[in-house]
Amino acid sequence: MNSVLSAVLWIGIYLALVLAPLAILLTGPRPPGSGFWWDLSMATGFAAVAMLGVQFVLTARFKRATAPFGIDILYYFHRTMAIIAFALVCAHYLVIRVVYPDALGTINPLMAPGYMTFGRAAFLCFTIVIVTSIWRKSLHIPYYGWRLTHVLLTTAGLIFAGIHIEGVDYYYEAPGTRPFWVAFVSFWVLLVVYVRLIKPWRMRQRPYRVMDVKAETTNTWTLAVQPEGHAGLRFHPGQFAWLTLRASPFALKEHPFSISSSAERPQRLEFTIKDRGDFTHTVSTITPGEIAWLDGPYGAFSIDRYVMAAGFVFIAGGVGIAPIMSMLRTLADRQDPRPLLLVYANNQKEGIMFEEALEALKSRLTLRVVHLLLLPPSDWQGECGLITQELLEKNLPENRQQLEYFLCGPKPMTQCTEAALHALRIPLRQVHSELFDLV
Amino acid sequence: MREKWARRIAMLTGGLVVVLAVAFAYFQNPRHRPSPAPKPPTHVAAPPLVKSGRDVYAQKGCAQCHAIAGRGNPRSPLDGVASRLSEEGIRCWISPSVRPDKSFQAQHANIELTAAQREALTAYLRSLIKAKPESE
Repeated sequence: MNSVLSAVLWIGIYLALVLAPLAILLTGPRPPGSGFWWDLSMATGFAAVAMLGVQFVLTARFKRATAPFGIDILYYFHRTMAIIAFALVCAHYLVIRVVYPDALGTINPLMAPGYMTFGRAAFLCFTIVIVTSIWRKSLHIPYYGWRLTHVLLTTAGLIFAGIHIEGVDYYYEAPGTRPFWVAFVSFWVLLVVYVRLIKPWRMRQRPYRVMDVKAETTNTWTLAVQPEGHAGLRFHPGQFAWLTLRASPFALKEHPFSISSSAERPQRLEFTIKDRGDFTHTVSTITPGEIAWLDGPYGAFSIDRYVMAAGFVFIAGGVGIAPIMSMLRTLADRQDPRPLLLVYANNQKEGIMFEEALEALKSRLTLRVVHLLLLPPSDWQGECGLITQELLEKNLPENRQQLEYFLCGPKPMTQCTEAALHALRIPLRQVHSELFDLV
Repeated sequence: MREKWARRIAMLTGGLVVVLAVAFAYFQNPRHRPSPAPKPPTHVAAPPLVKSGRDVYAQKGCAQCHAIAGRGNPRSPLDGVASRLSEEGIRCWISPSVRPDKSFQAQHANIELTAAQREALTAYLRSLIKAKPESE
């Protein structure tokens, strides 16, 4: 299916799932009104629970659903929708607090009806989830702890919210409404079971063995794995996978890394990983023979989505070269004749990765490589400074508006490069980048 | 570019949800009647038992599910309840254990009333008589 049509279809399914409870409220039999503000509060409560339930689907990593968008953008969307849903939860509470304060009753769980306590517990769970997700780094919460808490609290919050709705009992007595809500909440809980239990179990059936760990720079390594007793992973160049090492697939200790090897050689997958603390700090200690598990491939950052392109421009910063190496190696294996330009920015000369591999690729591809250093040594002959409009104007070919652009690097670099390309009248639909570090 | 689209779709979804929620509240209340404004209690010179019943009503958190004179949960207003139910009916209503309705029993499970409190509450609810229209 055409990727635009597919995207429209999935957006339609998403909207249907989110809006279904409100549509049922509007079209089904319902008790008489209780005042505009009361009914508005109830409706925002229902809508918030529906939106929070659908949040599980967004991060369930269904490959067919993520393919048209790229999973990075779905995580970004998940984050934005969580904030909107939480705003609705707050609106649900605040309207009652302001207009009908007596209806809230006591907060004491020993005195309050159970369903009201469950409602408050759900509110507390969602508040903790939002605060710890937006400000995880500022609060110095370790990633593993955050991830586990996130899963537990969101699941608990949704179950508590379901009990609250069941207990409140409004708009619930109409024929078909109760089974709908029971099915609705059960579906999301089953989805969590699938993602956290069934999917890891399936991953366990498809292990990979570490073949090699090679230092690229003083703080970056390339880890090579090969499938153990199965066919491995077919992927598009530029995609990534979640890697689990030295932990069970059930432990939620997985990390997303770009594949840097050729998509035409799936029997040996390479991941280029920079030491950023926590798990990445241990990569240098991994030894050949260790077992790994992969969940993937994911991502829409790939030349394979633009097969008709006249040529490609790759702009990488630091370890952002990893997915671009995968694309270049794949193009070389496919003997692709199209013109290619790589602008590769690093802080220092010592940070340049794949220098020899890039030289070798030049002989197999129509490839020009422009190295750029922020802090060059005195004998440096290449470009210096940051990626600017002038630098791009100087190096881009004449047919620059017919090319597809792939940007991968630190966020400030990506943003500046996008602005520079926009100033050079490169259509933004031809500029592709990936979002990292959302939490 | 994709970020911008994701933000737009998120805003569109949020906007649609709010519009549908407002539409629901509007259609539920066709004349867009405002939520009843809280009014001061009208039992200024109520007998002691009624006053005591009012205290029981407040202490037991009955306003979480019921409203009187616009205060509390408007879903099940008790204004004029004495015009709808007999004294015996009210007594039965506030004794969940004698009602067969399980969801009602569950919602009132934490409300335990002594015989005196039940009498007082019955007296209070008996005082909530539907106001006669002014034209009569």
